[in-house]
Amino acid sequence: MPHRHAPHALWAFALSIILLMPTSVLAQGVPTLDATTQTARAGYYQLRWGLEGADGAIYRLEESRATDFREARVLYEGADRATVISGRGDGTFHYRVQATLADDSRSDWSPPLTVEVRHHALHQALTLFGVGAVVFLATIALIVTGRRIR
Amino acid sequence: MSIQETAILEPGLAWLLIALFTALYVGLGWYFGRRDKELDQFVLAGRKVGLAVGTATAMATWVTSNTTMMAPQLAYQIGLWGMIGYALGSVGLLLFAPLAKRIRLLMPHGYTSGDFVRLRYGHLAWRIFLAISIFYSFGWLVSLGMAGGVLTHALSGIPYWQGMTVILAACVAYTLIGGFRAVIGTDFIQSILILVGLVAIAWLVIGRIGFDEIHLSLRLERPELLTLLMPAAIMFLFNNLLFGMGEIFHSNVWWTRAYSFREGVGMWAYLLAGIFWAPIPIVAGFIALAAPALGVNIPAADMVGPIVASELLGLAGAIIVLVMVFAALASSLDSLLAATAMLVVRDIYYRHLRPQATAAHLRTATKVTILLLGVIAWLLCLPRITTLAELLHFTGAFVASTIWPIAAGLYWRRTNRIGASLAMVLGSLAGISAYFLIGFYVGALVGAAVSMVIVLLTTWLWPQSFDWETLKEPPPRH
Repeated sequence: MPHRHAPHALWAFALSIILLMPTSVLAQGVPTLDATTQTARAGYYQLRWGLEGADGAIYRLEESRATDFREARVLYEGADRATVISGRGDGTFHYRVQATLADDSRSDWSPPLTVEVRHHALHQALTLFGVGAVVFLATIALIVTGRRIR
Repeated sequence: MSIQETAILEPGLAWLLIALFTALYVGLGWYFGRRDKELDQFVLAGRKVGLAVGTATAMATWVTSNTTMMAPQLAYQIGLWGMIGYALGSVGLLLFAPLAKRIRLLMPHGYTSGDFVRLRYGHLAWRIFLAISIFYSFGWLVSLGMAGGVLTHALSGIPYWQGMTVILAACVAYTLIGGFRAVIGTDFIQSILILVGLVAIAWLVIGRIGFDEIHLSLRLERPELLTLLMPAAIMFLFNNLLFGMGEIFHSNVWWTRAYSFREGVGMWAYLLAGIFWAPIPIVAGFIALAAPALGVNIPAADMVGPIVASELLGLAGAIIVLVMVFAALASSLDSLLAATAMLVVRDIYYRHLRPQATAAHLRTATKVTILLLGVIAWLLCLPRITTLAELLHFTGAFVASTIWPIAAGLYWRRTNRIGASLAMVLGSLAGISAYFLIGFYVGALVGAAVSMVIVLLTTWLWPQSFDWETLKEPPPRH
């Protein structure tokens, strides 16, 4: 009965399309994007991204201070899959990444990633600096005075 | 998955360079160590090392992958203070100079840093100290092995584990063949390679991309790297200084050198090594600050030094960096393998398990231990769990807690023995808590501070007497 064979034919057709498709189309999807920390207390962090099965893809990483990526700037464009951000002052930064595949097709943007830079309090840093100075000077005093003792 | 796709060196050329320098170091190792058949010669070079070789070995050992790769990493992460703070690591060498003189005077027959802690503070402190010291040695070994893999991957795209394996194997091979004389002999050659390479790179960097351009790019793109009030960087300054002091004051790497130097050499060798070493992290760190001006991507912070040098200087730069950092790595790895093997064999195997062992047996045990340390370090390096800086600074909390027990034990008769043990344990715990609660840039600082307070308090409240002659333990009759 012909109508019973129709679903098999459709499956076979769909399968042959999938098997004959270039790998770049198979790799179409959403790139992943993550950071080593969500709250950077020293102004630096690493961003890592990738797209499964997309060998040789070129990635475009954008950064924006706004959640809707208005006035986003391109932070990196190339084949690497990570970058280190450093030297940032306090603030909130949003990132997204897109892959351009070997056949020039583009993936969707990754889900946005937010990193907050919030430096340690200056008074805490200066207190620990003072503690370090005391330990250092006391050690020098120990060695200098100790050398006189025979 | 590799995170870096762009590399300057062809993998074939990188392998050729690694093979050539491996052959050179193994050959030199055999040549320098060919006459050392006795145990004392194998592990302490006969205690007759002179000033030139002594200075070179102290400097080359302290110029590690950590100096050539971590100084740029820290400059890139926390800016000017990262670079300057790293250079303060030289203070450890400078302050160890008088300690080296005193060690040679008080312990003319000593072998390890463990010998001092055992005789000065007793068995409890000795075992705590051994745990800290061996843990630190593994941290340093792993950071060196990792640096080998990171370096070859950054420059040539060779997979991390392959570069790490070959460099680790090369260092184990020539340390095994030649013993301590091979270590200090190759250190001399390696220190020359490091200094020439670094001066060449700095010269080329400043010539190609001036100070103004570097400063402008940093001000626009990474302004916090230029500020002197970045909180993490401020905390890092004394943290690194104390970390360096802790590393040098406690580690058997530096004590074996103090024992092996001819009398009167130790003080000057360490002073000169500290003075020569200080500018190296500044030069290495400065290279990293050129990254924003070049517009080059840095996928991982510990790759910044090799990437910038090779990006800026092309093939020649990449070759210089590979040769220089391989020399820096090898000069530290061999010293660490030899000194740690000695600590394990003398303080654990001989003192705890086989007190009747002959000299020939201990020599074989030292070789087996060097091999085992290499294998364990290789296994720990494989997963590449963290960055170089974070791994090494994790050990900082532990070693900084030994500064005061060591220094006060060497100079004060009245230092309390239980206080020394408590200082190491509570200092380490406080330091490691600070490492997790605040950041890697405070672990050593807090560890050293807590340890100092405990040593001072216990010595003030419960002073004990000590006879310095106890330290002149006669050499064991094997």
